[in-house]
Amino acid sequence: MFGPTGVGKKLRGMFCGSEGEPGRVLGSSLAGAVDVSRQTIYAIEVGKFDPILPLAFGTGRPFALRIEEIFHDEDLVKSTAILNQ
Amino acid sequence: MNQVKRPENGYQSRIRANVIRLFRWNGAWGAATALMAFGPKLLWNRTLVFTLLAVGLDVAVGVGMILANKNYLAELDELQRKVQLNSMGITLGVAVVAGVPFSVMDAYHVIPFHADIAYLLILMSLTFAVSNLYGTRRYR
Amino acid sequence: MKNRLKVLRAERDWTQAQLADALDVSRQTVNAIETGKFDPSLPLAFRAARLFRMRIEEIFHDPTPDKDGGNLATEIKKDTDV
Repeated sequence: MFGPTGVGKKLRGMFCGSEGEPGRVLGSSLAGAVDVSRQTIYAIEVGKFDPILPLAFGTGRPFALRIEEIFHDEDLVKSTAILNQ
Repeated sequence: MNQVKRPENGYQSRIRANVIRLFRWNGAWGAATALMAFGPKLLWNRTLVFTLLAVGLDVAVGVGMILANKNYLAELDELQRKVQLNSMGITLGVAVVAGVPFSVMDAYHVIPFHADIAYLLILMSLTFAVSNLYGTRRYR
Repeated sequence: MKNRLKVLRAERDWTQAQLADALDVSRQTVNAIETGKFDPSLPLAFRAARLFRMRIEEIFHDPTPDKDGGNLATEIKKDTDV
């Protein structure tokens, strides 16, 4: 019931891209800045781990983005899909 | 539009069902352990085959209990899971830190009695109960 | 983490238990979030946002606005410039 919802899936490739690619941030530098491990950033990206809200705020700050612009409300996506059927 | 959707069976009743299931597994494990501990002497006069069967049954029920506990943890909401995991962590630490000296003291006859593992289980239960209570009160 | 959960709940005349039910958590958790003792996960914050039909930022307040945002922006620039 309370397994990962994959809110961070939209992040894929946003942080953990290879060095020097435009528009991508090294996961390790973001991890250092929001004070979590590199592993946590990666797990959020692949949707295996959901961040707590302060971490989500921290993730959006450097990009000057709102949370909704970075993270996906998976449940909402699902319920919308069901309604559209 | 802005209405609260109240599921007929919400979080609390789901957790209650899980707690009941967990208690049943705990009870079954206790019974299987008692059978394994006292059966050889009282019931089947130390017949090896029965003793091995009792051990197998105890381990199988034990695995079921662990899975029930895992399910229970997964069903808890994030705060209650955090409280539970904290208590489990403290309990594990206390068990290791207290258990090793206890067995050493037994080995060198510092204590006048045998360091039975049952004492450790009692200590773990008490530690878990206290730290769980502390965690629950902390977030009240 | 500061938030307006209690105000929003009071505006709608809901009890903590009702809000807990709607968010699919325990009443204890709702209380701990309202009093700022516990930070919710992002999915739970999304559930609250959906329930109140608001953005997350309108319910929960970022505790460290622009505190190290500047530093990180520089760091990111450094990384992407390589």
